[in-house]
Amino acid sequence: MENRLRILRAERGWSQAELAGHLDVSRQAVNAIETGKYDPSLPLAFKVARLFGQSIEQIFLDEVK
Amino acid sequence: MDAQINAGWADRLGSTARVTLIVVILILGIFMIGMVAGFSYAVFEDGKLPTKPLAYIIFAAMIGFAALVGWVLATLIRSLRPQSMSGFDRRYWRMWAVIVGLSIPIGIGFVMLGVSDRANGISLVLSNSPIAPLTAILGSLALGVLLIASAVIYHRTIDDHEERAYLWGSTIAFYFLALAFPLHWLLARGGIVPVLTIGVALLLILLSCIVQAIAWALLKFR
Repeated sequence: MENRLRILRAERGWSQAELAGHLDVSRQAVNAIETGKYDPSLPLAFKVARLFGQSIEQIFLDEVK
Repeated sequence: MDAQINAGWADRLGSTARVTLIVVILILGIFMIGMVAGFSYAVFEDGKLPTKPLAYIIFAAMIGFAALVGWVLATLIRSLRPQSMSGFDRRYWRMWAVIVGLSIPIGIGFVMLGVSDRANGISLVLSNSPIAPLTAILGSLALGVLLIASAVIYHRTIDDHEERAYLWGSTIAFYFLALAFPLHWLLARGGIVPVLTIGVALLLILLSCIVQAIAWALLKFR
């Protein structure tokens, strides 16, 4: 699934490790989400959305649309 | 802050000295395990517990010394890691330290119990020869405690991404077993491979653990 996580992270000048710290996950998890190799669970997607103040749909793009 | 205070003495050493010290301690640790095994061989007679109190005092001293060496090793390793470790990373590495900390004494215990049966230490895990009832009970309890405690600690600590890597790794390992056993059974009936024994079964389970670990690592670190 495509997402805007890398862009949002870059806007704040955070490294993957820093974003991982904010989300309380490993750096590998952030990297896997950004490269589209792993789709986060719903609780983690909500956590990402809360952190960036956006809705899940604004961050994770529905490929069907 | 706490880690910086504890690692204070280690920080005064250069990084090369610290790495050298870690390697030296690990090499000495292998020799120490050999010494413990040798001592156990001398103290335990045919699986019976020793009667002299001195044996227990020496065992307690060895455990105390091993704990001290473990603390020194952990402090040295901690002093080498980046200071900006996140809360998750701290919990994660603490979890591995606890699991390894549980595994080492249980592993040494297995070697000691194996030696106590007048056999090669590792024979407890790699052979199918009879063992004393006490050895069997203690071994089963240790294995049960280690596996259950490790699993609970591990699954309570890891994140969603690693949980998925673990679950897929386990699924692939299950498929490996589900294929390996009937294949071996059929091939054994055709006389191509030896008949399935408990040793072969344990080897297949060990192989499935390796398959699980490889799949887990590929999914976590790709």
